[in-house]
Amino acid sequence: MSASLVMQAILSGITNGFVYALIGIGLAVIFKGTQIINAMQGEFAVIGAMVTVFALEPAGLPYGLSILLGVISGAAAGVIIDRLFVQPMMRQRAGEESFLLLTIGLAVTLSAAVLYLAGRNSYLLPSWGEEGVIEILDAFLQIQALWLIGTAIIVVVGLRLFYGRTLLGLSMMAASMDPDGAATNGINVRRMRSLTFLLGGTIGAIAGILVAPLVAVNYHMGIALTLKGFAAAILGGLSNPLGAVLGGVTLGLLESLAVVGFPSGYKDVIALAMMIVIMIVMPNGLLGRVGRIGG
Amino acid sequence: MLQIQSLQAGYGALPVLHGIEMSVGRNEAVAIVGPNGAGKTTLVRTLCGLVKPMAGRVLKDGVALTDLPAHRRAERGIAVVLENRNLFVELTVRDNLRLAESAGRKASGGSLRFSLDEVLTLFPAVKERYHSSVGLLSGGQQQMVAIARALLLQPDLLILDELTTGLAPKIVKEILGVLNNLRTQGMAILLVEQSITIAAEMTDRAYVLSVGKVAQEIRRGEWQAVLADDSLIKAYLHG
Amino acid sequence: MALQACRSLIALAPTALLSLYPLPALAQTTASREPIKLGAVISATGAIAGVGLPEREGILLAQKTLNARGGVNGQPIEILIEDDASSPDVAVSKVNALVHSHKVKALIGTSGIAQTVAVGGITAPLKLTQIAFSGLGPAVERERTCVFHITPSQELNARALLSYVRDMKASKVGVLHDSGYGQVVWNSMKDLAGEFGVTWSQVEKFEIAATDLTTQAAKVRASAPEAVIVISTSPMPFRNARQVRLTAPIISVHGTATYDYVKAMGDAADNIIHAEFLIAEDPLPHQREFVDLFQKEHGRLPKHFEAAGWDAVMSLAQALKTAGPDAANEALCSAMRRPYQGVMAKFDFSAPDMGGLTLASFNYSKLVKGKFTRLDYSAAK
Repeated sequence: MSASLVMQAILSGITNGFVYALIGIGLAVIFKGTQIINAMQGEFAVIGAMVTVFALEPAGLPYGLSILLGVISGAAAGVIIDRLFVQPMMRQRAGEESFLLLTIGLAVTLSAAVLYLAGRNSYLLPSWGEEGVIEILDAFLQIQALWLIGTAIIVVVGLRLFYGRTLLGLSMMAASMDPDGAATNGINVRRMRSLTFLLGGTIGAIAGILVAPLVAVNYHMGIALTLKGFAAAILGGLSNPLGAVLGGVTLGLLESLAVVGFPSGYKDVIALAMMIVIMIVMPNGLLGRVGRIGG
Repeated sequence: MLQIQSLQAGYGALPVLHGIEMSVGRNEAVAIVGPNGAGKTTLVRTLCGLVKPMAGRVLKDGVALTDLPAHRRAERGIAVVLENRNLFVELTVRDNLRLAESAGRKASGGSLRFSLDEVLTLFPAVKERYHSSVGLLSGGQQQMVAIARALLLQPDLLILDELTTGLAPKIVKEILGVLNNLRTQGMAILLVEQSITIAAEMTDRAYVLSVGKVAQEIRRGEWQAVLADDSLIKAYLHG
Repeated sequence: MALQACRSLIALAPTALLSLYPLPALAQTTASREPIKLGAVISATGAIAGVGLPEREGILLAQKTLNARGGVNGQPIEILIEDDASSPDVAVSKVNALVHSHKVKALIGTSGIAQTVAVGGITAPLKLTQIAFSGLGPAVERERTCVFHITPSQELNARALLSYVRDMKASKVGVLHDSGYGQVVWNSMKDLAGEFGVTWSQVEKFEIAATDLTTQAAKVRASAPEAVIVISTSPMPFRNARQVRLTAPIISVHGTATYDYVKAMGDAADNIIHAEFLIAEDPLPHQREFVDLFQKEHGRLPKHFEAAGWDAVMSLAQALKTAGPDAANEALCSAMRRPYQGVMAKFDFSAPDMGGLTLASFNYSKLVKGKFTRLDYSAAK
């Protein structure tokens, strides 16, 4: 086990970690805004990436515009899910389990829809800047990974500012904390919920678009991404975007360091076992009680 | 300015309120009293738009409110402090008030009867804890924040549900003082109260609600008589 | 007199009119004869749709071409194609329907070993000819002498890779394999090290759905291999290997030698050697016709899975021509059991493994900047 191998594991772990984090951030946003655990967050990523892929080629649009379309489609998917499914269920006063079931069902359906529309192939997006890697201590990090990490950080900071400083962000949090109180204080709770899903869908799509140059995206990636993102979000306190980043990076590092130290077949066992230990010792996640509230 | 006509409302299929007739005039302070389970809170929730009426209607300044969603009732000058206060517990006092202030600004089209500064002056204790998280405040302080928040919606009708329950007498006195002040400035108040004494002190008249119906109206000047009559109190007010 | 003539003319008119219409041909045409019914079960959906769909394309093109040329001695073939969704259970039920309800004369398929073994249980007792797109697998298949195998066994795949490694004079070999298909091939390969004079410098396994293997790739790189064998159904290990600057040549089995994979590999599709069968950019003479037909039909080049589909149909048609369309199952099976020059390779269906592929059957290609180029190398020594 050499230094360069450990370094490679760290770089790889951070890259993967930020992918999980971006999904986890979307999960946190939706949970924060609606108390719903969105089992189809990974599908937003797949939708965003796939729309971008097909906008780029065969539609032949410029990359920037294709990315914009991808992000918009994620946002639109979020709003449609809210209007078509979540709002009617809320009117019927459905319980938490029902929403979880809904999002699981939607995840499977969307995955099948992507398979039908886009086929079973994996699709790569071009890198954002130069294709290539940078070398750090005899280990390699893709330049695209830097874009991913940078964007994730911007998203987290942006969300912090949004929720903490803007009235709209405050209104969204208020609508989730106390719908009656929010409604009687001039907040359109239904619209806030739609906006939450719009935001969650947007972040999910961004995650997919950032990942697709690194890892070829296909119709069955959504569920795998959701699971990892869910782990990241839980580690971080479930409604805290910053916590999701910490959780994601922790998970990514645990996984890749496990590969270095042990035969690669045991990677998942070790990473998840460590996660269980963390959750037992810190049941409110890495950020403790603070994590459950703020962000 | 507030007219309730033949109101029938409830949850699910069963109505809790049957054929309610009430009114509150400008500048009036009216109480709604009655035993637990009479439907007082249901009435409040219907007035502020959280519950849809099954029959009958509610008019404010002659215009029916029936289909107006809760978040738009501030536009008609209605503000409510619900039984649970429904403060945003994990946010600061500042954020709680900011939200209401913005809604009030929109609802009143910019003309502010109650500015943030004025409201903070009314409740110095709130001003002191301005940057604290609401969850850390005492019951009395939270109640004051709730009222302050309601005022920032720029209402001309303030509805208060179980305002004083669980509060220390000193705090109750302070709050009632503020409300009296507001009354003299022209605010109409609809008060749901358990305590007859406070209701009598604060309001000109009252409706006694029992089993979802208006069992009795206590008109202007009749409070003294009611307070003096034990049997009435027992019959209607303690179920 | 004129009136009489007129009347006659009028009487003759209908006959004259009739003679203007062509009479229906009374000779026998292919359209009027009953088609020979054949069954096919491939995986068009599910985990191995990646091989099943190109197999189907090859089958359909062969059917179309064969029928256009008059079919089997003037009789067209009709292939009923079913999808087993990569599941052995579904494959069994589809085959039952084809064999017992539709009474097909032979079965083409399936796309995967598990399915082939499962449906072999139906075809073998009936001695129904089955041409499978999987290599010879467990011992029971050796007794199923009417189940023919168009693709190589995992051991042959392993030997093909190791032959190249040995002949390029590499002795330290790193291995990256996935937990599914890769594990199966690895199991056949690991004990052959001594025979080919190689040592395993580092062996890393990863699960099928893994999205990032840079650490595993880095571990392999750290062992300084002279060559790296990658066995995977995902393009990721190829990409990750190059990202960690693993510059040794990568050698892989034919499963990843398709255009879809090349596209998904991106820049990493370079310096990768495949032991495969059809290099359409530079086809062998006997492969040219198929390549041209396929390109005309689909507007792109085929690879070996499409060729396998084609060969299955054409070899079966040949056997039908010999044995006759109404031959009993045993007779058709006997007629199959002989050498056959296919597009993909030269088969010998009379061999003990019902396929007859050898090291000599492989064509080696090298990916150079995303393009398959033929390597002037043959493994038969």
